[in-house]
Amino acid sequence: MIRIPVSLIAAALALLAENGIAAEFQVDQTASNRVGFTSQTTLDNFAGETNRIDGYILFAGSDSLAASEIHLEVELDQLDTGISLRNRHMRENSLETDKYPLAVFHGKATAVRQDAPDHYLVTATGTLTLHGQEKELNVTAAVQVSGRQARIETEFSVRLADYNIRVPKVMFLKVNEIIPVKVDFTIVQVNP
Amino acid sequence: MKKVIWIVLTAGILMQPVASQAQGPKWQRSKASRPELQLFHSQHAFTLPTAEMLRKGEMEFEISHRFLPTIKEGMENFYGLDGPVNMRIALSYALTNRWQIALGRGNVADQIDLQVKHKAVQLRSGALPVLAGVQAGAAWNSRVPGRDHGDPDNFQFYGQLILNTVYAKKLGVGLVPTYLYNQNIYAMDRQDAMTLGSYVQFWLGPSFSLCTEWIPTVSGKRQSYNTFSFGMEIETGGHFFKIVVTNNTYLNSAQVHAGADSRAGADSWRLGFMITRLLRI
Repeated sequence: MIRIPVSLIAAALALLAENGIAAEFQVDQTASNRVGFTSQTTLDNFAGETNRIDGYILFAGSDSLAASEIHLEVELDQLDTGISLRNRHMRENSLETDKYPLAVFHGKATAVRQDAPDHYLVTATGTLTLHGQEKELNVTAAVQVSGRQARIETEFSVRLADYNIRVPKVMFLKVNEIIPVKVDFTIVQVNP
Repeated sequence: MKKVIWIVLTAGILMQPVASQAQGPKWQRSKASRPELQLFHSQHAFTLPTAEMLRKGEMEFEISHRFLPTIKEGMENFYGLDGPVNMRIALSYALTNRWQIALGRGNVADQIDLQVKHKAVQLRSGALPVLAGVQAGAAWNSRVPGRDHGDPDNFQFYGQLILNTVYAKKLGVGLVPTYLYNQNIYAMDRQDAMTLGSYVQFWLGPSFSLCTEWIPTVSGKRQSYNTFSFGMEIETGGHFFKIVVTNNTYLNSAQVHAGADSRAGADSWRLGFMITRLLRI
């Protein structure tokens, strides 16, 4: 029988940590994920949402945040405002989803604070690419960990002009210039 | 031998992190889903249907008018707008994303019609995507002088094939071959008619377009003249406003496809409009 010295295992684990081997989490496509926005004006209030969010998070622990990576994508084609005609206007005239089908956030975690057992506040910074335009985005997300899964909720605002998104001028359809966005999704760890 | 095993094990463990890092995340983008293909914006040209559908659970309310005095009568009848008018109201409801029904009523012979529309095919080819649908309808002329309400001659039936394509999201073309049974409810014998309706729509902007509609009778009986209409469409949040100039004063499909009662020309143009509103409960 071959006996492996404890010192060898310790050395290997130390090297693993040094190389920042991260746990990989992926968006759980079977969970009830939601990306939504609201627009409230004096003439019209409406909300839009989709469950088509995908992506991954690499996380090597609170001490290795520099090695973390967050990549999330939302299919804009599937945003639903409840009225098919309004969806079409949004897709074709504002978001131009033929040319820019995805909204993509790519960044990393910059701070993690535990505020309750299994509950964390994670600050992330990165780039939000929307309508072909890239802008830096800083968000704070609430993360509820449950075994190998975590539920993530965050909110931020998108200024349409920053992304060169034309505000609809269609009669009776008014949209805020600044759109609050809510993101709520589940990730599941996929590697050991 | 033991020494070799140690070396292999050690190298294997130590090299693993480097190999893992080089691989990056395992994540792969899931296959994108696509919304239903939509070509025309409205479900109607003027009187002909497009292959566009309401989404499941949506309703559309329609009110349409055709003013009977001609435009040529000028200010005396305010270009026809003083009336009288033929009018239609209708309510459509989508059972699914591809099946919908509509119940309508026109004031000509108090006609009530029931339509069923189905989107059958959508082809997402690059330059010329195609939508194909079918529509079937039954019309009951509930007030015909000298007849009982339920007289079998008061009923008309029709079937339509709807073919749509749009080039560069600007130029839409539709073809609507239509078979109409009992074309003339006043005739001694029941007569059929085949029309080959067509329309062309050109979008000048996201919500403004020009449209023409041409409905020639290609076989069977015809009232008097083929139908020609032209006008504009304005699209708002959930409304379509269509203003039309036409030689056909009818609105319900069974009556429109029977033919126009006056020749297309300056002496007989009439004004009309259609307003539709999308509703969701």
